[in-house]
Amino acid sequence: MARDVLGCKQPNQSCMKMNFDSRGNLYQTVELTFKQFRKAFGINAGRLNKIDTAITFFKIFSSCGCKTVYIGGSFASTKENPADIDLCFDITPVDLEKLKKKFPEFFDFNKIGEIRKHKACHILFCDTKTTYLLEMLEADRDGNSKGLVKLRLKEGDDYD
Amino acid sequence: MIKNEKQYKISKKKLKELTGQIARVSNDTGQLALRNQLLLASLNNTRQTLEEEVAEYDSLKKNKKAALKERLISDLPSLITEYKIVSGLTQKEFSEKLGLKEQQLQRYESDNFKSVTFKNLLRFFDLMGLEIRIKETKLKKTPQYKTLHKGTHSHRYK
Repeated sequence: MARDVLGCKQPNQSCMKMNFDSRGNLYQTVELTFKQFRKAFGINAGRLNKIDTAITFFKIFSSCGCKTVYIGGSFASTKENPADIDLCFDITPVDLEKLKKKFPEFFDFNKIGEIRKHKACHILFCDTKTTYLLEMLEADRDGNSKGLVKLRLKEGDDYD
Repeated sequence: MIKNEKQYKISKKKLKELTGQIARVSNDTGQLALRNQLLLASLNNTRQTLEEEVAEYDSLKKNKKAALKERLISDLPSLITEYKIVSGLTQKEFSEKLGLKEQQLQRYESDNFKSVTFKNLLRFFDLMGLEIRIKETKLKKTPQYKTLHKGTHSHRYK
């Protein structure tokens, strides 16, 4: 069975049976299809708005070769109205020159900060060598471990 | 928002680790410059956010007047947490003063006091020496009302 940075299993039917702990966090990282993700976590207008914002970034990064994104923070929990959505893109396969040319803002931490402030979207990056931010997402503020949602990205996907 | 000493200590530790990570990536000349730039942008942004949260917590501990200012009812959850930080009481001491179990206070904080009972809310006010006064305003709809309304509306016509 194929595994990735987090050793997550490939999607299957059991992925839809997500288990949350008493704090409302996922017990472990689950890989979902986009439809499964939207159905499970897009449970109200506020959450659906954040998913719509995230789709913009899915399209940008997949157009530059990104294949995987991890979704964390309170969005990947049972919290009804999370303040924002945390997206950690695995940049290992990304065409960085293309990304820099088309979307230079992601190389500037002030601009990433503006996206966070104005779009309620926290953009993070990891690759096979640098996984610190991904590991940070795997724990809550109290240091309790929690799972993430893993999505496969495909260029040209319209996320209907 | 950092809500207690435990979270404060964890955040300080993470800040230290982030600084180490930033130094490591900065010195990793064996990697592509663009890859390092991209990773550094997100590492630095995360560090900046964490620094702001730590500074907010430090400021609350030092500047006790800052917390208790007039605000909207929708900001009540942060007010209670800020009061707790300002008071200098530990999670255990604060919950004891309220006559609540520590776990109950943690549950309230983790869901932003959504599940707080009216009885316990009055206990918070009593402890903080606060009272609620209702006054008429020119605002017809609060931001929270708009969000709720929007949610209901879109759900209804979906």
